[in-house]
Amino acid sequence: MIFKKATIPLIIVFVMGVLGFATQYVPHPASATVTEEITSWFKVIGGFGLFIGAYSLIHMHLTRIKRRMEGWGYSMFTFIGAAFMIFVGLYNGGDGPLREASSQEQVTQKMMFDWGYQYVFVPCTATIFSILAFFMASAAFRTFRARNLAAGLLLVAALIVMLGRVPVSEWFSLQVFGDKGVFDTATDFIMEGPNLAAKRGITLGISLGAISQALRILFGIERSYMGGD
Amino acid sequence: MNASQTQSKKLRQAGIVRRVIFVLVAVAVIVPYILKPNLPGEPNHWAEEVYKRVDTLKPGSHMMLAFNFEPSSGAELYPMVRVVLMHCFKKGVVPVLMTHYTNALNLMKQVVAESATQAKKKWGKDVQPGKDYVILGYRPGDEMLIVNMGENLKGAFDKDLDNRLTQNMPALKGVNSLRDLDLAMDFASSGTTQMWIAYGSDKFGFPLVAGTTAVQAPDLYIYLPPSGQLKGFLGGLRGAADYETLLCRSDNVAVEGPANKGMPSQSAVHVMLVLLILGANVRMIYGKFAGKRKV
Amino acid sequence: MKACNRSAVRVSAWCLGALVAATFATAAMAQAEAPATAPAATTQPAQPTSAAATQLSRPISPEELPPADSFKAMAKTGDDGSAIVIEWARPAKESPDTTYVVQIAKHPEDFANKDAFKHKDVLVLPAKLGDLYQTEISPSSDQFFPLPEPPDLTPDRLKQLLAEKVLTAQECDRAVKILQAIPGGKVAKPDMAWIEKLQECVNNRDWLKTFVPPAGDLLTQEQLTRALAALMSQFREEKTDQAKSEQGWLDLLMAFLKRKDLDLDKDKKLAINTSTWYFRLAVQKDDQKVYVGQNGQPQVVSAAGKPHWFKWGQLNNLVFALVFCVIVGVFIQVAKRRPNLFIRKIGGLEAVDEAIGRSTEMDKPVFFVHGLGGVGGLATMAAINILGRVATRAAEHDSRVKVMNSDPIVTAVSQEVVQQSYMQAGRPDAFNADDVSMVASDQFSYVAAVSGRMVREQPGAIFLLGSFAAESLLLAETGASTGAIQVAGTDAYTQLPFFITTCDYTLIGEELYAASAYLSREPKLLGSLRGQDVGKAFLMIVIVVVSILLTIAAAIGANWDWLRKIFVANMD
Repeated sequence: MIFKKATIPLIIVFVMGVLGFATQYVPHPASATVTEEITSWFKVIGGFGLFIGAYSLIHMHLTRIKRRMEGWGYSMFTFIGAAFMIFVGLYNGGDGPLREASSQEQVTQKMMFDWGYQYVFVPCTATIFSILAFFMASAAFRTFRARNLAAGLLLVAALIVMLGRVPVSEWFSLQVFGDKGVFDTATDFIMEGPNLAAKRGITLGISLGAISQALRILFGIERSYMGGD
Repeated sequence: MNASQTQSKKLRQAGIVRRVIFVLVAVAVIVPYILKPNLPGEPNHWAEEVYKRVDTLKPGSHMMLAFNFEPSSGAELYPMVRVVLMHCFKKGVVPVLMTHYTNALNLMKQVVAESATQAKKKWGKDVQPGKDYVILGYRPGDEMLIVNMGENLKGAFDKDLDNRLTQNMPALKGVNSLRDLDLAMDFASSGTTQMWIAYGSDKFGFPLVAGTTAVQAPDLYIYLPPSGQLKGFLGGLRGAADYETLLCRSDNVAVEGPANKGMPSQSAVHVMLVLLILGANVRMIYGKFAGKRKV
Repeated sequence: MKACNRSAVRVSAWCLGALVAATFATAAMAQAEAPATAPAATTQPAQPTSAAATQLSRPISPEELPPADSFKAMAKTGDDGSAIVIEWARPAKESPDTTYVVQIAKHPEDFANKDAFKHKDVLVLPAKLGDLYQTEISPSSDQFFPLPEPPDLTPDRLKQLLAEKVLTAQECDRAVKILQAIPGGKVAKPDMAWIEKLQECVNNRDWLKTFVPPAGDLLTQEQLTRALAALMSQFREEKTDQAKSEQGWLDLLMAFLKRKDLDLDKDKKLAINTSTWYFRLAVQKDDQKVYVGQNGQPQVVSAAGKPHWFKWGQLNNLVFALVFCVIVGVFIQVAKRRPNLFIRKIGGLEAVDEAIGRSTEMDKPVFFVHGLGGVGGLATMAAINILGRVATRAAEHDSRVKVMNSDPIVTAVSQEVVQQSYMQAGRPDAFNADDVSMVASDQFSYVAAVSGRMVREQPGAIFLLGSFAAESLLLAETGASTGAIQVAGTDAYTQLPFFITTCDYTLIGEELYAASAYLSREPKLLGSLRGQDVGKAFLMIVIVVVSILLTIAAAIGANWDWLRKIFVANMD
């Protein structure tokens, strides 16, 4: 049992990991063939993953509806939305699944699917994304307080960058310093100096952490992802 | 008052402040959008760098536009793609569009159609699919797709979005691999630019520039010169507005475009936030002093 | 309540003040700015006049020619055999209007025939390697000597495919019959009837019209493939069983041929690139062209592409990777002998127990949000490792963990991990598969679903661990509004500020990777952490020392470029 649930997966992880590592350094066409082959396998596995995802989604929402759990109406909505899009997709302007529309008339009928995308999906996702502006404003208002020297520096940097990113800063700059480009220059200095230094530091740390994590997984030291220690 | 009551009171207070800020943001966005004040700024030097790269391409050169965002980030990135495409059409550069997102396909067609219309209106350029531009569309595989395109572009995309075969397509004459590109630009709402650097430009040696959402922009400074893995970038709506300004200046016409239209709203929200934050800090400092005096 | 309202009114009052001030400032600035823009737009530098272009060009002097012995061709090192590198030295004198031209031919004698060789222009740019120019040429590319078009699809070609066992005898017979049934009978010959028939077929599909060859031209296989596609659409319109069957079969045939051609193309291209090619170099200015050579004879050099087994440009990368592996390996061994290695406190991980305990006290669920990463992402993998620990503690405390995923494979892995954790805690009965579910695969649909559940179910603790993009703030801010304890962690640098501002604890980058070791305290895992820290210290020392050395080199004017090159990332 341990052999099936631990040893075999670990061997697969090790072999595939070493292969992936090696192909980075081997330019020979044989290496490209191996990479292509691995990519194909990955796509096939991804295809099966889709069924697992669909099953999980359907099962969860069906249970919620069956048990009349809080918010079960939203689950109904999930099914109605999915059913509608699947139907218009399969109907395919009367051509049925797996075929391209053969006439302009059918292309227009197919627009039902495009309509769902253009006038339901696009506005919905754009709305959620636009909420970000509101959340950003409230989070910034709550957080930026000059409680100590470090927080004060952060606050000043934030204010300069916030102003430097919009054209209105040129007017302020002209009024206060007599030169249009002060905020812009200061913003570029902050972004290309302190910001970049911090970013490089964090990136180096993250990269080393990632290599170390990859090694732990590759050599089977870290196996929590397989459901055991 | 016990701990749980204090907590719920705090939550309630925070909720009210949040709502007030939300209303203010809404007003600060909507009012300038209606009043339409004219606010063109001086373009940032990284935007100028991108503009110069496109502007110096010869007619018939190929520029890859990786359209890596979905409708949700369209507010920032759509005007960017639009203006870069218009510039390509003006210069006779052949844009080659592809995406890593299935949800981007319709948006891609829309932006190409709009830019083509604008190019015809402004410069009388009549562009044809398969000849003056090509929309390759979507293929799965992210970084592996980039590697595949680097090895064999027409193999990775054997047909374009309208099912035309790419093999003998006039728009792709001389382009068999990413190596043959004169320039590539990644329009990214997430980390695809890093992917294009690691698996694209670093591996196959073509010049790469980027256009990203404002949130993603700080991530890219590390790749700009002196590192040079990115030659320039457009950050957020301001980047798109800068590009529009440069393109309009080259035609000696007044600055216009959807990104510049959004600048007053963005300016108002930024100024409002700065004032709010300053106000909150003044209040905090005043509170501290007042507290000390009482003691 | 009153105090709360009063403070809200105060906040609203000066917020409104700020807003009004902002709007006025924007409008005032706009007014001040507006007149300034019009002249700015018109004061563009004048277009260059043609005066410069009318100047007479000087003849190319010998100093403007690169030395003949510096002109070399060689297989590109560390490459798959597709490129040949041409190299020459910068001449003593250069002018910006000069272009270098590299000519390529199959045989030296082909240079005599202007149609038999190809050329590549190289602009005068800063030389790549000190005073050396380099350019890469892939002979099989369209610009030089591309693969010939595949042969026409004729009955003979079909028989050849039969001989190569690409088609079976039955398939070949059917294909021949279909070809013969096509109006005009023989596809390889110009046939107006066939073209007209085809045009009829495609008149409803504008894009297909572009594929119809001009009258009188031969149909190539490529064109026929397109024509067959048009024919298929005609079959589709007919909607008879016969038409459907023909269409399906033609689909198969085309897929066969395409696959075969693609496979063959790869080998053919490699064969072209790895055969010997001949090169000449010329300096060009306006109409003048002077070849690099000796005694008036152009010098011809040759080279062939060669597939290599190692990318030498990445040797430094490999060496560092191996050194780092060794350091980590050594510290794992050390940790086995000395299990109590000191690891600094990480606040976010110390808070895991507190967060779960609080949820149990309040009888609320624990939410675990994975973000958008796939199972291949290391951040997601690290998050799954933490999920195992969180689920075990939650099971011990008799608390419910709800895991929300956007990737089906991560869902499957998470289900397995949580189930195992419940079993380890001795509570297999408490595991509910629906608690670990896939909610949506699209970014903002995912945000909507998770935020909705946060607001409805009011969790006691929220773990936002994994790979996040624009959804980070939306999720964290919604979570903060529910009053839950929030522990976040990601390796996405741009999202960290959002988590820090809205969450109680944030694991920054590598802390996320360290979490599993930190929580389990297993010696081998702790050893790898120590190794990672030593590797980082080593890197920091190297960065400081090399920066100082290169600064000294620049100050004293020494050329220590070799030192810089050791650390340059090279993907070739």
